[in-house]
Amino acid sequence: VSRTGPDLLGVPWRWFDLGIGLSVLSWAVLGMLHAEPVDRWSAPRLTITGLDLLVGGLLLARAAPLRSGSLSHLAAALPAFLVGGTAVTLAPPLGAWPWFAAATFVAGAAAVALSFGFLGRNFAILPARRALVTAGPYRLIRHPAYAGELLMVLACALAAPSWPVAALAMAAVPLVVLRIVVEERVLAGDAAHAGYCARVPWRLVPGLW
Amino acid sequence: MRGAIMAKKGTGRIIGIAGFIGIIVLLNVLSYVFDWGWTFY
Repeated sequence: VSRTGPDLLGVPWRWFDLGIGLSVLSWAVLGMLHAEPVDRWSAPRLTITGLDLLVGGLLLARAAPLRSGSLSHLAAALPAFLVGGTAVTLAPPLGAWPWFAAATFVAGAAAVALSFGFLGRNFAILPARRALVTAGPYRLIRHPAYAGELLMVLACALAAPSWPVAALAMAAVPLVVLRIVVEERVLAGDAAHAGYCARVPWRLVPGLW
Repeated sequence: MRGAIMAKKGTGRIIGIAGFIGIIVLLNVLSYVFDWGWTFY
C-alpha cells in the first residue's frame, strides 16, 4: 500500500490524518478533564475515552487510501457522522444513565472497537478504498462498526426517552443506510469487494439487509 | 505567463491550507459542542 496517497484540497493526505488524529486523542483527555466528577468515571464516559484513544491512534498509524471518495461521497457520509455526538448531547449526564442504557452503550462500543481493531491500518472514517478486510466481525456483516454505532445511539435514547433523542435514533438508521450505500459505491468495481459481497450478503443486520 | 501560473499555484495552496485548518478547527468546535461525546466514526 502506498504511503504517499492522494492529496485532499492540494494538501498532503498525511496532514489530515495527523491533524484529525491528534485532535481525537486530545478529545479523550479533554472529555475526562472537563467531565463533572460524578460523570468522569461512568461507563459511558470511559467508553467514549477508550474509543477516542483507539480512533486517534488508528488515524495516526493508518495506511494511505488507494482511492479517495469524491466530495459528494464525503457530503453524503457527513450527516451520519454527526448523529453520535448529537445523541450523547441530548442524553442525560453520562453518570446518570440507568444500567441497561450504559450496558447497551458499552456493548455497541465493544462491537465498534472490535471492528476497528480488525480494520487496523485500513481504518477509514470517510469513503475511500483501502485494503479489503473480511475477517472477524466482517465475516458476519459488511458494516459491523455502524451496527455498533447504531446501538450506541439507541443507548442514548434508552438513557432517558424523549422525542428529540427518539427522533434522532430513528433518523440515524436512514443516514447510516445512505452512508453504507455511498461507501459501497466507492468500493464498486473492485473484484475482491464484489466477491466479498457475494460471500457476506448482509450489510447491517443478518437476515434483513 | 510563468509568473501567473506560479501565482495561481500559490493561491491554490493557500486555499488548500486554509481549508485544512478550517476542517480541523470545525471538527474541534463540533467536538466541544458535543461535550467531547463524539461516538460516531
